[in-house]
Amino acid sequence: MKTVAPCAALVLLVSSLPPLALAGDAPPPWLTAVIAAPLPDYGDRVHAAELLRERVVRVEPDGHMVVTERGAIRVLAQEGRSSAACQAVYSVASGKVTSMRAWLTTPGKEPRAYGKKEAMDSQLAPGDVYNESRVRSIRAGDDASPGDTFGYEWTMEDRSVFAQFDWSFQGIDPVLASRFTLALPPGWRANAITMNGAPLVPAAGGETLIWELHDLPAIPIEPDGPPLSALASRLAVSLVPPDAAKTRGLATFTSWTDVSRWLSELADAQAEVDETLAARARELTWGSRTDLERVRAIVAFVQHVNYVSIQTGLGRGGGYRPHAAKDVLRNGYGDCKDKANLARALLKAAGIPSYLVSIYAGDPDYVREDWPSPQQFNHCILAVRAPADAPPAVRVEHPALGSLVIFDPTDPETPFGGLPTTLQGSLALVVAGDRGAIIRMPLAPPDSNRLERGIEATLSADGAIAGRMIEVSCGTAATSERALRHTSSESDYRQMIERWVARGMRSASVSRVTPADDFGAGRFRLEVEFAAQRYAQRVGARLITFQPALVSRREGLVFTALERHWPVVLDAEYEAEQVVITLPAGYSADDLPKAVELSTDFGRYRATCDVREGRLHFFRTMRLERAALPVARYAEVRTFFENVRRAETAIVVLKSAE
Amino acid sequence: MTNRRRPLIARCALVLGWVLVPALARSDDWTTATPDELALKTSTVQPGADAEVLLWEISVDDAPEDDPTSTVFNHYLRVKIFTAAGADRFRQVSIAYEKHSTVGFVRARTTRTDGSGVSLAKDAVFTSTLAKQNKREIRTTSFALPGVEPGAIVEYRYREARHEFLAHNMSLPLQLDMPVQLVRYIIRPFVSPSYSMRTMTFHAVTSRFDRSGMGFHTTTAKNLPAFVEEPYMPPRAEISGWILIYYSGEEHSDPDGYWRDVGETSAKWFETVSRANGRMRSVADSLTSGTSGSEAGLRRLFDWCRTNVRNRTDDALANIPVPDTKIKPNESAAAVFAQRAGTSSDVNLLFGALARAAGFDVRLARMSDRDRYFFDPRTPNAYFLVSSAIALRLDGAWRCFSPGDTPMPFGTLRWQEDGQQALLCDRDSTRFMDLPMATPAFTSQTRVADLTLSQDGTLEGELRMTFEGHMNMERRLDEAGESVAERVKRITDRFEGTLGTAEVSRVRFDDTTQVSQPYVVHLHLRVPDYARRVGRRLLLQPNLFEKGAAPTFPSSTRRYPIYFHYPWSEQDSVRITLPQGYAVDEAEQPKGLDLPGVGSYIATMRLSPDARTLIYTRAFRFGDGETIYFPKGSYSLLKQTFDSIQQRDAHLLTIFDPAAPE
Repeated sequence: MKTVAPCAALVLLVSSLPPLALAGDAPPPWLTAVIAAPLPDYGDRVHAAELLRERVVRVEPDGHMVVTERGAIRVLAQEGRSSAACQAVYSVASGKVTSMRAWLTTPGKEPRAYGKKEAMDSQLAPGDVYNESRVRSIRAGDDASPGDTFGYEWTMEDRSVFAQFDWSFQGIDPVLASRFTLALPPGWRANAITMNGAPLVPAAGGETLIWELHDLPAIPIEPDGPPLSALASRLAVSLVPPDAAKTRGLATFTSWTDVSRWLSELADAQAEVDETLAARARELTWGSRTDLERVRAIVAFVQHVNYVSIQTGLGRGGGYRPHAAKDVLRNGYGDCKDKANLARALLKAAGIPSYLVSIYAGDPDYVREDWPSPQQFNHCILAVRAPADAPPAVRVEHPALGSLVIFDPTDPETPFGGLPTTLQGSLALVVAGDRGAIIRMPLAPPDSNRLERGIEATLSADGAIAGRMIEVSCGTAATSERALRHTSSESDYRQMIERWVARGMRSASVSRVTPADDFGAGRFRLEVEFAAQRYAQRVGARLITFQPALVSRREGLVFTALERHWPVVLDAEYEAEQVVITLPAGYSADDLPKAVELSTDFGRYRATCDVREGRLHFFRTMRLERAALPVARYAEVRTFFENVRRAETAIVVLKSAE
Repeated sequence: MTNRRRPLIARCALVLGWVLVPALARSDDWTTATPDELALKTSTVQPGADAEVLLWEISVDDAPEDDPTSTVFNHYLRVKIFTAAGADRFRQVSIAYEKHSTVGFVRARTTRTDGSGVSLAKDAVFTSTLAKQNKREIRTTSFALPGVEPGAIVEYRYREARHEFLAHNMSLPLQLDMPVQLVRYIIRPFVSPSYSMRTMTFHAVTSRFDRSGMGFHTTTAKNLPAFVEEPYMPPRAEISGWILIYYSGEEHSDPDGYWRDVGETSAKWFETVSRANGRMRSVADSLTSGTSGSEAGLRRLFDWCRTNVRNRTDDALANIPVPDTKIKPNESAAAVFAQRAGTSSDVNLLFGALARAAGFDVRLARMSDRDRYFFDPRTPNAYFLVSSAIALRLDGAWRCFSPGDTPMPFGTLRWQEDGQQALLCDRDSTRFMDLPMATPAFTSQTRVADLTLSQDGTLEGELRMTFEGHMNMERRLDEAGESVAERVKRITDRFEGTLGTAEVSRVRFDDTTQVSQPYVVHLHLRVPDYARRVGRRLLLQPNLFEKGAAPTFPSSTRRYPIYFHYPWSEQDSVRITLPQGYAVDEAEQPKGLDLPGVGSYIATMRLSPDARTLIYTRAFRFGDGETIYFPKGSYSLLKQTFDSIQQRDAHLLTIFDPAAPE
């Protein structure tokens, strides 16, 4: 699947509007005019503002495109210096940046010009073995000071097969004027939709369409909030040429079936089964008695094929064409679409139908049904015809293909039957030629992201504590724990656990860390033996005090800010902990935390603490529902988590009888 | 590492093509995996490792026949994979290099657990430009290793040619981040009638260099554990094995003689480049007028250099406006003076020249950097003298000055340079001088809080924190280029991170333009729920500065010695006004801790005469007698000590309202 950011895949065009600045150090007139415009007072939290963000696209009659972008950014504070930058993303095989210039202007001083010498050209995805996508940029942050304005303009040419692109009217900074201009050749049409905002009607003048927005406020990014892609207004455009034959096979789509058909054409031949694949499928499924067992065996194998990304031919749709399954099997590596396609081929060899699924990972609301386009996706997974006893949590019903089980072969830590959180709830396209359709991915309940912890410990009169903890994670929680173990060396993992235990128990040392992974069952067990010489504290001669919640949550609670701009997005989870501490002889409870019970529609929390027969029993449980809670409920959310924090930092006071 | 163009004669050497390069450079003959290697389930050097290098072989050819001006490296790595993390580490390989290097002849193969092999296809190697700007370019050659899985053996080799390069003063590592069974260096030096390649090995046992034909010499080391990062560890060069290769005219069997030569050469150079011209002499005279060679005059010269020369090294700290003109490299103190700009060393050079012009007895002091090496004069190699300062004789004693290190006060050095020996360079009497390590009192953290506790447990009031000495320097450098808002965020995050509910406001910094002055921050703090209500009592930790602090040494095991960068001291003073009507209930005096020969920890607690205010003080000092390095065997004791201090910092007391109902 394409591996570039959405803007990377934009079709690249040339301006037909005011000419670019000529060579020379002086800023162009458009920039001088923009700088003169007054700027509203954005307050202390806004560090930079865009005075102008403009993209102009000109489409040639043969479908080639030229894009010009220009912008002006005012640095408002020291923290905003890094905003004094511009970049153009292109693919070496189908495009090129023909010019890039920039200027930094300081009131009362000569402007500073940036050109070829200052422009940096770098790989867009340096982690890939190879990727044709590159980025040309000019960064003036080190030279900029508050009050300066950075202006830029660049031009790119693009000859890719795509006749679709999207464009964001803003980033996180506020924008005074944001404009997208499309200049079409005679006879061409463009269909556009607006995302994250009211539908925009373009101003039209002949074959030129202009979409424009003004005075866009800043978009502060908040913890557990929606991503920028769900907040900033975007425009998605599909071009319709009058005669496809004259446009070098430009890829155009009017429906999801079109997209499915196009992707199938790219992928189907790559899943051909040869004798090697068939033999491997037989080997993998040998001894399997049911389809479910066969599927499990095959996908588990593919999951452990190494992830390696090699992206070529992007401008010709290469980003969507998997390598042939037989090659991926031989090499033992591939990217997401390669792995999904290998699984598909092996399943086909085993007589089980499956389909590639195009999806966007990271924002469940990114893909919009009203813009049929492969450009909306950044990941590829698999839908398998549901075996009779397939896990219900990851089943979906497809109108033409029936019951399907969704699976991500790229994620090596989530076994068949689970779906990574980043994919849940997203719209995704099941690629199946004419029968392809877009469907919503399943949402897992809190029980599929479950962690249960039991601790037994003994406390001494001198404050020392020693004990054993057993933590069992299931589903998504197990995936996180498994990933932590697999991406760390044994000693690093042990140190991580030591640090975590020591955060809750001062001076704790860990004598044994025993992780045990039951991958097939989706369960991860961690056993830790610990001792802390100085856990409980003496207060005066007779009192001992300590926190019964011995270890802290792995993830902190994040709602400390008093204000909120965006909804709170919660993932479903369930956590339970039972702590039993044998108390020192001669001590009794002087004060115990009061029981806490919190109940809302998005979460429930309960904590109890009591002493029975010389042993302290502390129990806490929290269940969160997947939810997007409006800003109006932020105070309620904050209070809920604040009360949880309070309950979990409550203390026990023991008193000596003497 | 230094690049040097080699003599022209070398470029005329016969160009015989790469066919004469030792066989390992290009061979497709892979070592067949033995049954024992295939069956290996865990590292033999370090059980539990994710992968183990069976053989790491590097040839360094400083005299390649096909390209005499280059140095050719042939790399070969053969690795046994044990775990998924090990497989993940080797699924793909990327080799980055600059424009003046080339990488080629990439070969790779994976031997699967069943003994079958799969080779890297020649068209599966990708070379591209990682980043390019103006004339600078970084390239990368990448490939994905086929069939990498736990149990497999992967091996790859490639040839790297560094053009216009000589392997002089080059460090060759012997350890990686995974265990190595065998590392082999095969080196062919450039042959010259006037100098030879020499080697020094550190922190590893290597075999003697043996001749291996065609002018190559071979050395090996065996069973080297993985190098890992630990907090408070010595520099890598002091705990991990490496070889230094360099060229010199003769073997330096007499360290004293060697250092005399180095000192004499450096002194001559310094005398030449620190000559003052008329204008410089005039400035020096006017600054020192009336001070008759005293320290006061020197201080004026020091301050003048700080405030009149733009220090490019510390640009982000500078309080001198940045000129629009480009700064040229300086070749002498006069050039620095004319340009009023230069590097940190240039600023020192100018200071030395002005001091000379003013009649002071001035020398160049060459020093090492103990953040990189622990310098030992018994190792005769100027490679380790990476830094310098200006030495002046005052009242008969030599002292070092470094105005180029912007955050350091007059007469002090960065921690990287103090506490070791410096080479006092002189034409006739070069010698080493001791640079004393700054005492704990020099680097201090003083924190003062004046707070009020409410009945609901909220603690609120004013805080002031002062950092001096090396702590000041580190803060200044950490925050260089940051805005006030960014610094405020740092402070806010620090308290929110340790106190959870803390609300930080009214943060202000004392004049931050004088970076050698102490760093002082004031703030207002409010912490709801700070004191916990337990029935009628409130449970209170007086030392809010250390509440919630992470343990210094969380790990129960240690691999390397413990090394603190410098001695330091901490002083805390906390006054807490108790809620009206409340009295102290259960309280004991906090306990002190004696750290014999290293430092001390003293905490006290008392009530004001009217019993309304609790007064807590804490004084911690560490690094007495320059004790900042501890062998690995002391880890347990050291951890226990810091854990004990943390426990004492968490000292609690209860206060209660006698009038409140039960």
